[in-house]
Amino acid sequence: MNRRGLRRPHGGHALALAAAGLIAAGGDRALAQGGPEYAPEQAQAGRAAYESACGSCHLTTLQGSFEAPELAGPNFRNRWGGRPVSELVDYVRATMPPAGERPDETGYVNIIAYMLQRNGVAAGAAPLAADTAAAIGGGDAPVAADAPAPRPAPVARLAPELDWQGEVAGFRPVTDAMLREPPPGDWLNFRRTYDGWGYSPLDEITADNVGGLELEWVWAMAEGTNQPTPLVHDGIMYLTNPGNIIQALDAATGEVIWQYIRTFPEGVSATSFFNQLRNIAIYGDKIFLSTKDAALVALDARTGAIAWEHQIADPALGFTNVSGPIVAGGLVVNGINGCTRFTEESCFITAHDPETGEERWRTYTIARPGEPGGTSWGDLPLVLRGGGDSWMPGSYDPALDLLYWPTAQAKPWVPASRGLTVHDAVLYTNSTLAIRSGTGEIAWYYQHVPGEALDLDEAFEKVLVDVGGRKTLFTIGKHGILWKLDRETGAFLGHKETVFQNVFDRIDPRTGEVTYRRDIAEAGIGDWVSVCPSTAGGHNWHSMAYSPEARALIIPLSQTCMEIAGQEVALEPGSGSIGADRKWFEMPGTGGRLGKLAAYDVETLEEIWSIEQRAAFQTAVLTTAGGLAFAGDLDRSFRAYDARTGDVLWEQRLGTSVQGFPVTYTAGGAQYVAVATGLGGGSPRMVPDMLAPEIWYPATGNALYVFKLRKQ
Amino acid sequence: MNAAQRARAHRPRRVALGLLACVLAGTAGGGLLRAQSAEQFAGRLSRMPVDRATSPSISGGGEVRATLAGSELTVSATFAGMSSPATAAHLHRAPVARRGPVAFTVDVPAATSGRIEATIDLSEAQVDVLRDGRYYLLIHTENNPRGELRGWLLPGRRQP
Repeated sequence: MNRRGLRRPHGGHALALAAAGLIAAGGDRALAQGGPEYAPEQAQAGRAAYESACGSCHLTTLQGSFEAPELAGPNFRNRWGGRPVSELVDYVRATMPPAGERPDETGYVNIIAYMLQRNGVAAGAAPLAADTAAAIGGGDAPVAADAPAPRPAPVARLAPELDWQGEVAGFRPVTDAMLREPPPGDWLNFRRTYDGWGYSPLDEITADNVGGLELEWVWAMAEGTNQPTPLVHDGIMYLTNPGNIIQALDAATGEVIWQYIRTFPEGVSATSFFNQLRNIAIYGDKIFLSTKDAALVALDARTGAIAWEHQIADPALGFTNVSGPIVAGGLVVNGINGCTRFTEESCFITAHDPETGEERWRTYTIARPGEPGGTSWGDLPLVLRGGGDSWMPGSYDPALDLLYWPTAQAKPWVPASRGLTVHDAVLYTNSTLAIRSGTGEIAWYYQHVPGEALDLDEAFEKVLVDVGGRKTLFTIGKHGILWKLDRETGAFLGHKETVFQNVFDRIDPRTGEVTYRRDIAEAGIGDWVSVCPSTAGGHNWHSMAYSPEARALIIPLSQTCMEIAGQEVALEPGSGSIGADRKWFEMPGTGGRLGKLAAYDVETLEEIWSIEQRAAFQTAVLTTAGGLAFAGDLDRSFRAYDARTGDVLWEQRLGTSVQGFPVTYTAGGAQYVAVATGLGGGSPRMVPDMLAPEIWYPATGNALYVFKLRKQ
Repeated sequence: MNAAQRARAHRPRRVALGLLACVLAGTAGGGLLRAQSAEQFAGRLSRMPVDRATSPSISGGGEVRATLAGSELTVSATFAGMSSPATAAHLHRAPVARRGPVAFTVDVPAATSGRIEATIDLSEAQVDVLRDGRYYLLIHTENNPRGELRGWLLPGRRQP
């Protein structure tokens, strides 16, 4: 195995062909132009090779998913029509798949033959070769009729899916009161508490003794994109693995109690690019997960048996889940993902009865024609209004009975690609939505960047802190701008630029209104613009944490830039794409230090301390009453910092890159700290991975590491 | 805070180093004046924008430093590990992290590693551009005629 084979694990497939944006020409026209030919047996062999190497991300339908572009259809033809087959072969061979076993030379050519077939190019007598110079034709070729697209059936399945069955002894149901104020030793919500602090009141581990932290147990996790938040209740850990595998473990010893493995309908792959589930929820006697195939499932927390499942949306339309649900106001609330494709349904958040799964409300994150905000999409019909996905769950203020939910940007990413301009706000994308938990009504919204144009969405955590007696909300997105809002009204209170950005000519300090740089605002299809930060984000899913002792938000940040150009995307039902080419580079002025961890005063927003390093941070931050902040990075280091100063107090190298949401809890009276190692992920991982190729790590090694203080 | 502002934040340190240089320069009047008025600029030479397909063929790194004394800019750069020999090097003019036109051509050895030394006389307007952090050094190579390594000259010494 060569060195490169040691890394670049699962994840990034998407980008691969995505960046490629591949496609072929029109059948008859291609032939009429002297287009490429392939032998039927090549396409037949290519189908098997494609489904093995490409299908998990680009789907067996070749329709693509998120950053893995469509490989059959008009968007492929727009991208690759007129270009030589050899260029396509070279591109795919150089980039795909980004991990795992690679086809041999013949295999790559066969895959291209299959793609040509699926784009309507007829088989011929001459075999396709890697150096075929004939141009891939353009046009409106239909998908080959002899290769029907498998359609997953959104059918609820209640068959037991347990392969290790035990029972949690003495299980104590989780109440609303516990969710509002978790027992100190529990981690019951995504960020432990509804306010999203990512903070634990446990203080056995302190700045004085953290040097004695030692590995207590480790648990290997399923392969795939791993970004988990373990939940812990009464000494039992509930762990979400890639591919919707949930386990109950003894949190003191790592002993398994039960394991649930989701099985998926045909056409949905357990190992697909975005097969992570960032969080699960616990309430009553149930564990709730939202699945890759767009269902909501309740498991018996004692045994892992399925209590009920409810199909939220049709996965055949691209709907899926990456963020898991939370329980708030007695309901299970879940934001859907996979809203890239053009469908009449558009993107939404739903709430469900925890006992039955019955849907109680559905709030659309896309303003519909004829409704408030509907004209912010110009004349686009509902079916062409993409985006508004949920990548993270929201926070909740029980006193105000408001959920604070993040929404992603519009799709395609570049306004010209969606037939609009930056002056079309495209509500309610790229916003903080304040939603009444009982009804789903949007009480207020704050759209951080109307008409977002660069895949720099503001789709991440909401941290609720009372500052000077005012109920305040903090959030930060890919622009690296820390936003401070009044969480009762949505009023703008202030902002802080945490990394260099040159996206906006102006940010109004009084209103928060942003003004795009002129060339960005005027960019048409194919116009490259060079901007900072990149799609990796000044900040991404790696949630900040609040330290009440330091009165500071401690935020993982990233320092990369990009050039980006919008592609032409077919504006027709069933199409849809992120639709952009991108190239990345180091952020000037940072000395190549891609990772930044910094603390900001919640009153003044001033930077209190910062650490900059070559390796990008790949975890959320965990803060504790012991005065500590924990975070991990791409280069396998997991560290404890002094929350007040940023001084490194403890460090441990782990098996591979550290990735996920660290937590702390008690079991048997002792405090533990748990963090995952993880592979896979989108831009926030792939970009620093590409820009710092000297950082090497094993291409396997998803696991959970659990630490406690050494015995005295 | 933009990158130029970030660099300015380190100015106290630079001034301190400048004063130290004055002391080390001894008592020669001309040397003292020169050290007091010299301004330092620095940048990390890093790879031009890459994607998954081009990343393996764009490689290397280095640093560029410059000193402005009066209107005279002395540029010194080292680079190594490029994918193919250099063919040209220029100072371009553009805001940080954006592309812009060629402002000056500098000599570069036809090698994958090497050193660039150049002295350029700047107009007042060009000095303003420099102080605003809007010059970058770009090294072109046989494999990457549009550029392989690039680095902005930003005020201060710290950048690389």
